[in-house]
Amino acid sequence: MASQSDPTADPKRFDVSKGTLRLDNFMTHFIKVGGVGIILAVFAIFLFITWQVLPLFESAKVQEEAVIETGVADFQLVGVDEWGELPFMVDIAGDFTFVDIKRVDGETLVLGPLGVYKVTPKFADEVTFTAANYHSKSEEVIFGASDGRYTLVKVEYKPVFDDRGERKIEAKLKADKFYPLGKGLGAVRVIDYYDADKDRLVAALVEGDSGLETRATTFQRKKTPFGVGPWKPAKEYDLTSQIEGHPIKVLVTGQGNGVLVSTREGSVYSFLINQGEISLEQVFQPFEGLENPEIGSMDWLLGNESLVFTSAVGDNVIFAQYLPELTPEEEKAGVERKRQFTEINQLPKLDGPADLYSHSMRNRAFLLGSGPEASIRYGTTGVVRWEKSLDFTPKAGILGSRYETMLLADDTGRLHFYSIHDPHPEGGFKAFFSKIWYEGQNEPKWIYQSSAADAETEPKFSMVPLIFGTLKGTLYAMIFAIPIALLAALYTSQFLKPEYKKVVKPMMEIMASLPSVVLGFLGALWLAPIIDTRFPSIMLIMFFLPLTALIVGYGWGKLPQRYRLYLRPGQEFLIFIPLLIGIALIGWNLGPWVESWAFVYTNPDTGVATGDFRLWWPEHTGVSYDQRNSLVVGFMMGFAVIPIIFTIAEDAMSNVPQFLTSASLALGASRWQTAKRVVLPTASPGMFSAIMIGFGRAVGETMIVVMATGNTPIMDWNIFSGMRTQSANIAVELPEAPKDSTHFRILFFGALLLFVMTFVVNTVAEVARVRLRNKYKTVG
Amino acid sequence: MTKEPKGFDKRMRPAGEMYVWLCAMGLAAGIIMVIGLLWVIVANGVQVFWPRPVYEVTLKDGSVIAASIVEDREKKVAEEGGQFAREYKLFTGNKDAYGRQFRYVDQNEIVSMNEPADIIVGEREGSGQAIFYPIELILADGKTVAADSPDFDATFQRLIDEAADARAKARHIDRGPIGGYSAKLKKIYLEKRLLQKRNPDEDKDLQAMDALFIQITKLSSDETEQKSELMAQYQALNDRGGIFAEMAVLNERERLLNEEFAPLLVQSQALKDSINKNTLRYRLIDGTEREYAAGKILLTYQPNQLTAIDKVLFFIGHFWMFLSEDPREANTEGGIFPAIFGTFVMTLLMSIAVMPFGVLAAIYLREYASQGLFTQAVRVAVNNLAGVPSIVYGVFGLGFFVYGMGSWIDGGADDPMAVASWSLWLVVLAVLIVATVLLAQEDYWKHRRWLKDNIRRQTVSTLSVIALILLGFLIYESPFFHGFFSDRLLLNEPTFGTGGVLWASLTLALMTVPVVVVATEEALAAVPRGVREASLACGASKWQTIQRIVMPASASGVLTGLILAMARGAGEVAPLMLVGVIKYVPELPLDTTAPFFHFERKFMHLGFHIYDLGFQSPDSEAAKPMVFATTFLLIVLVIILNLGAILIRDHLRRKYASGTF
Repeated sequence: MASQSDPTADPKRFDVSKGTLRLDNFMTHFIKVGGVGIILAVFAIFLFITWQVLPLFESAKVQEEAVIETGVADFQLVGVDEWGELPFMVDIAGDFTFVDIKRVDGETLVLGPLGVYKVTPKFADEVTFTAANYHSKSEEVIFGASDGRYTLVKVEYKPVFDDRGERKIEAKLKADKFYPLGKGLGAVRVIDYYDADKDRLVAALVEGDSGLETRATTFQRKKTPFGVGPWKPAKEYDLTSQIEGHPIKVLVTGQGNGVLVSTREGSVYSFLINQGEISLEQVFQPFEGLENPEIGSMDWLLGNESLVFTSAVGDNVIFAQYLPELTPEEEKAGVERKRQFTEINQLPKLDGPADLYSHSMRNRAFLLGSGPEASIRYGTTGVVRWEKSLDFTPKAGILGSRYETMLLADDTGRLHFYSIHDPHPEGGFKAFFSKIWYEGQNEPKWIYQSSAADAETEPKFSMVPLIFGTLKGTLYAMIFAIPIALLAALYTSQFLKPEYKKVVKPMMEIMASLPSVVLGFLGALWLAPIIDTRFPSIMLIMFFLPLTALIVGYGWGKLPQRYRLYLRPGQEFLIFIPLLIGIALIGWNLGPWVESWAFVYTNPDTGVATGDFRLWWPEHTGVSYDQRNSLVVGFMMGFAVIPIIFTIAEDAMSNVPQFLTSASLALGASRWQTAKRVVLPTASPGMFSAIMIGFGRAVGETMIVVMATGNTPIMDWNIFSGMRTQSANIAVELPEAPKDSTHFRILFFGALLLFVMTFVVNTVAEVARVRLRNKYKTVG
Repeated sequence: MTKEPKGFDKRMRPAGEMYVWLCAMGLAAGIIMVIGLLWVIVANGVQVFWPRPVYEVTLKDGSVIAASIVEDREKKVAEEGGQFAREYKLFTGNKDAYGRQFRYVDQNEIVSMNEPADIIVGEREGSGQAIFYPIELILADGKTVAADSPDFDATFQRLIDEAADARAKARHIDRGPIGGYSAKLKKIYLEKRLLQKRNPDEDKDLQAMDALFIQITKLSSDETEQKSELMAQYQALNDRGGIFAEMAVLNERERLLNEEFAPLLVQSQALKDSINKNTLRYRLIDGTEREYAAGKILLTYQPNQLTAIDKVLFFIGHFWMFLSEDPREANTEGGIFPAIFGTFVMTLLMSIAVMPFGVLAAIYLREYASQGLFTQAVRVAVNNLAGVPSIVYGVFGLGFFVYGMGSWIDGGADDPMAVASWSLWLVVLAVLIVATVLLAQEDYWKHRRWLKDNIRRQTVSTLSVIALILLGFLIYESPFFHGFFSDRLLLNEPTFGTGGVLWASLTLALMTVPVVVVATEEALAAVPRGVREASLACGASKWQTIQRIVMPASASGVLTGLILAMARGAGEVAPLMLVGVIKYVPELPLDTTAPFFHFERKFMHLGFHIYDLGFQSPDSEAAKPMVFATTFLLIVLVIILNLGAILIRDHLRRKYASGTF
C-alpha cells in the first residue's frame, strides 16, 4: 500500500547522512593532524636537545653599552667591582677617580648620582709614585715609590641596600704603611707581589747604584689569637747579577715562592725560593726561533699556573709548568725531576705586542689589546672568543670578575663599558674532541673531569674518554654476545624441532625484558665476586665449551647411522644441557689448579709465591685490576644484548624461503651445508641488522654500567679495568648539574651524541632489514 | 671411474655435523643462562622469607655465637698460597650489642654447631633482629614475669599485641586527622615566610614577632608575669598594623589550630609512650644481659621449633608483610609497599598517556598517510626511536618537562613576550584558525571546482598543525600568566618545577610511544583487506570502517603493545633517576587527602629501590636480602606482563592466520 502512495523512490535514499559525513571529515583531519603532531613531537626530542646544546658552540657576544667621559687622561690603571657599577682609575699621583654608574630599567647605563669623583687615600708619607699594579683578585693596588719603597691600597667594595631595596655599591680605600724593598734604592719601575696569611713576596725592578736592579724581598708577619702583627722585612734577594740583558717585567708566582723576570732580549728567568734560598731554575725563550724573539708582554692567567706571552710582532702563546720525563742517562745520573715551563698552547696572532691585559676571575678567558685591536681569548682551548678593531686606542682595560662586563679606557680618559655574554667559553669542538694540554699535565691529553673544585682549577670536558668508554663496554659485550646469539639463532631456525621452538623463543624474549637494573645489580653483587675469585675457572669453561661441542659433534658424526638414529635431529641441544653443566663443573674445579700453576705471583717483600690471578695480572701486564671491570660489564650487557640479536637474526633466518632450503636438501646437501651455503648468505643482511640493533642497545645501556663498573673515565682497553660510558656519565652527573650551566649543557651534548649514534646505527640496520625483506619478495 | 667426488661419503655421514653441534651448544648456553639467572634471583629472593635455623656455634678460641647461616661460600686466602677455604657468613643480629649484624667465620675454626631449641629470634623496631634467651618481663607496674613462669609466653604475646594495637591507632591518628593538621600548619608557615619574603625591610621585625609568639606559646600558664611582658611587646608590634596585623592573624590561626588538635596530639603521643612502658630483659648467647622495650618487639619466633607447616605460614606472613608495609631502618627492613604503589601509579599514568597517542599515530601511519617512500621513512624512524637509549628520554624529560613545562606551571614564562607582539601573534593565530575552519567546510567547497580537493585538504591539515604549534608557543609565552605556584617559587620551593610522578610518567610515555605505534601498526596491518572492503562496499565511511571493523579486530594487538610498553616502563630506571624518583617518601602519589592525585609528588619505584639499596645504602650487607626480594618481585611483575603480551600475540596470529579471505 505504502509503495502505491509513493511510487517514486526518494532519490536521496542512497545518500549518507550528513552527520556521518561530518564525523568522517572531522576524524580524517583529526587523525591526520594528531598523527603528524605526535610524530613531530617525538622527533622534537632531537630538536630540543640540539637547541639546549647549541649555546656551547656560540662565540662571545660583546656589546658597547655606554661611553662616559671622566676627564682623567694621565691614569695608570683601571679597576672595577664585581657588579661593574663603580669602576675606578688610578693616576700616578696615587689618586683614585671613581665613576658611579647606574642601570636605568636594568638596561641603559648612565652616570649615577655621585658622578665622577676623586678620592685620595690617606698615604702615610708624601712621596712620588713611579709604578703601580692592580690585583683584581684581592682588589689591591700596589704602588712603588721613587725612594725604593712600596705600599698597598685596598679597595673595599661593599653592596649597600637603600630604603627601596635598591643596590648601591660603596667603596672605601685603605692605604697601608710604606715598606722598603732594600737599602739605598731609587725609583721602583715595575712591581709585583703575592701575599698569603703570614708571608709576602714582592719583586720589583728598581733603580739602584748600578742601574736597573732586579730585587725580590720577602716579608713576614706574626699571627696571634688577637689578630695579625705588622709586616716585617725578612729577606732580600738581589737577582741582577744572574740576569743577562735588560729586565723589563717581573711576576711573582702563584704560591709566592718564585719570581719570573722577562728581558728585552726575549728570555724569561724563573727563580724559585726554597727554604730561604733563591735559585735560578730555568731560562727559556718563549719565542725562540722567531726572527725577533723579543717579548711583548707576560702575564698570569687565572690560577697563576699559566703565563700568557705576546711577542713584539703579536704572536700569542701560553706557557705552563710540567714535569718532564727524564732521559735514561739523566735517570742514571740521578737528576731530580723539576717542573719546567713549556709552551702548551699557541693562539692566533695579534697585530702587535699586547699593551693591555686582563684575565677573568671565573674561567681561563683573558683580554688582550694591541693598538686599536681588542680580543677576548680562552686559554685552555686557545680559541678567540671575540675580537674587534675598535675606533679608539684603549690604554687600559679590565674584565669584570664575573666575566659579564668589560671596561676599556682610551687615552683621552673616556671609559667604554661593554657587556659580555659568553656563558660557555669552555665549550667548542676543540674542547670536546681535541687533545688539550691542561695545566699540570705532561702532554696534551683527552681528559674528562667535570667536578672542578673551584674556578681556579680548569674544568676538563673532553668527550673522547666517554665515547671510548662507551665503545669499550659495547665491544666486550658484543664479543660475548654475538657468537652465542648467532649460533643459537641458526640452530633454532634451521635445526631445532618446531615443537621446541615454541618454548625457546618466548624464553629468549623474556630474557630481553629483564630490567637492566636487575642485570646491573646481579653483575655487581653476584657475578663480580665470582669472577674475582674464580677467573681462571671461568676462562677454562669458556674455552672448554666450544671444544667439547666440536669434539662431541665430530665423534657423533663418525658413529654408524643406526646409533645416530637414536637421537632425532633437532634434539642435540637437550644432550648439551647436562653436558654443559658437567663441563662447567670440571672447569670450575680445575680453575684453582690452573691458577696455582700458571698465574703465580711472588711477593717481592716476603718471597712467598701465591697462585692468584688478581695479583698476577697487574704484575705481568702493568695495568690495573679492579673487581668491577669490563669483563663483568661485558657479561651482563651480553645478557641484555643476546636476546635482541637472537630474536632478529632468528627471524631473518626463518624467513629464508623454504623452497630454497628444500631444494638444497633435495640435491643432497647435508643440513649444515644447506645452512652454510644457502641460509647464511641469504640471511646475512638480517644478521647484520641484528648485530647493529644489539650494538645500539649496548651503546645506550645505562644501569648495568653505572652499577657494574667503577665509572672512572680512563682510556685503555684493559679488560680488568672499568670505564665510564656516555650514558652512565649522564645518569650520575645530571641530577647534580645546575640548570643551564656549561656542565648541564655538556651532559645534554652527551645525550645528543648518544641519540645520533644509536639513531644512525638503527637506521642502517633497519634499511638492511627492509632490503632483505624486499629481496625475499622478488625471490618468492 | 672409482674416483669419488670430494665431500662424498660412502657411509652416508652428513658433512659438517660438528658445526651443528656447535650451534646446539650456543642454544644450550643461552637457555642455561636464562634459567640460571632466573634461578639465582628466585632462589635468593624466596630465601629471604624462609625461616632459617639458629645455630649455637662454638669456635676454637672458645667463644660461642648464636647465628643463622646466610651463605656458605669460598674465600681465597692470599697468605696461604692462594688456597681456597670455606667460610660461613653468619647473621648474628643484635646490632645494638655487637655493632654489626654479620660475621664471617672460617669453617675450620668451628668446633661444634648445635641447634638450641629454646632460643628466640625477635624482630625489633629500631635496631633490627635480636637473637636471645629471655630472662624476664618488667611490667609498667613494677611486676616481673620470669621466663620460666607459665604465663610468660602469654604475657609477652599480650604486650606485643597491645603495642601493635597502639601503634596502629597512633598511625591512624597521625595519618588521618594529624596529617590534615600538619598540612594546614605548613600552609600557615608558608604564608608567614611569604609575608617575610615580600617585605624584606621589615623581615627582622617580623621574625622577632614570630619568635615572641613561639616564646609565648611555650610558656606555661603560671608564668603570668613573664607572659604579660612578652604579650606587651607582641602587642606593640601588632599595633604597627599592616603586615604586622596580618602576621598576628596568622599567628592567631596557628594558635587556634594548635588548640584544636592538641588533644589528638596528646592522644597519639600517649599511645606511642605506652609502647615503651614494659621492658624485656634478655640474655645474649655470650652471657651479656640487655633490656629492650617489650612493645618495640614486633614479633618473635623460635626458629628451631618450627614445624614444616609453621615455616610455610611464616613464609606467607613475611611475604605479605614485605608487600604491604612501609620500609623501616633506612629501607633495609620492613616492606616495600610505597615502591610497589609508586611503580603502579607511574605505570598507570604512563599507559593513560601513551595509549591514545600511540594508537592515533599508528592509525594515521597505516590508514591515512599515503603509503609512499616518505611514510616508509617515517615508519623506519619511529621504529628506530624505540632503540634510542632510555637515558636520552630522561635528559629530554628533565630539560623539557621539569625545567620547561614544570617551571612554567610554577611561575609562568621566564622571559614572556611583550604584550603588543603577543597580541599580534594572537591575531595571526585567530586568522589561521578561521581559515582552517573555512577550508574544512566540505559542503561549501563541493561545488567550487577551482580549488582541488586534495590540495585543500592538505592545506587544512598543514594549517592545523601550524596553528597547534603556534597555540602552544603563545600559551607558553603568555605575558599574562605568572604561574600557579609563584608564591612557593618565591620561597625556592618549586612544585612542578622539580621531578614528580607526572613528569616521570610523561617521559616514559614518550619513550614507549614507538613500542605502541609499532605493535598497533602491526595489528592494523593484520586486519585483512577483504574485511575493510566489505565494510566500505556496504556504504560505511572510512571512519566508520576503522571504528567498527578495524579497531575491534586489532584490539588485542593494541593491548599487546600496551603491555609491552608497561613492561618496559615498569623496569626502566635510568630516566626516572632524572625526573622524580626518590629513595624514600612516605606520602603516596594517590591518597585520601584532597585533591587525591598528587602529580607533583616524588615517588618510589621498585627498580630504583634495587639500585638505591644495593649501591647507596650505608649498610649494604643488611640490605642485600631486601634487594634480592625486590628484584624477585620486579622480575615476576615484568615476566607476567611479557608472558601476557606473548600469549595475546600468539592468539592474535593464530586468529588471523586462518582468517584471511
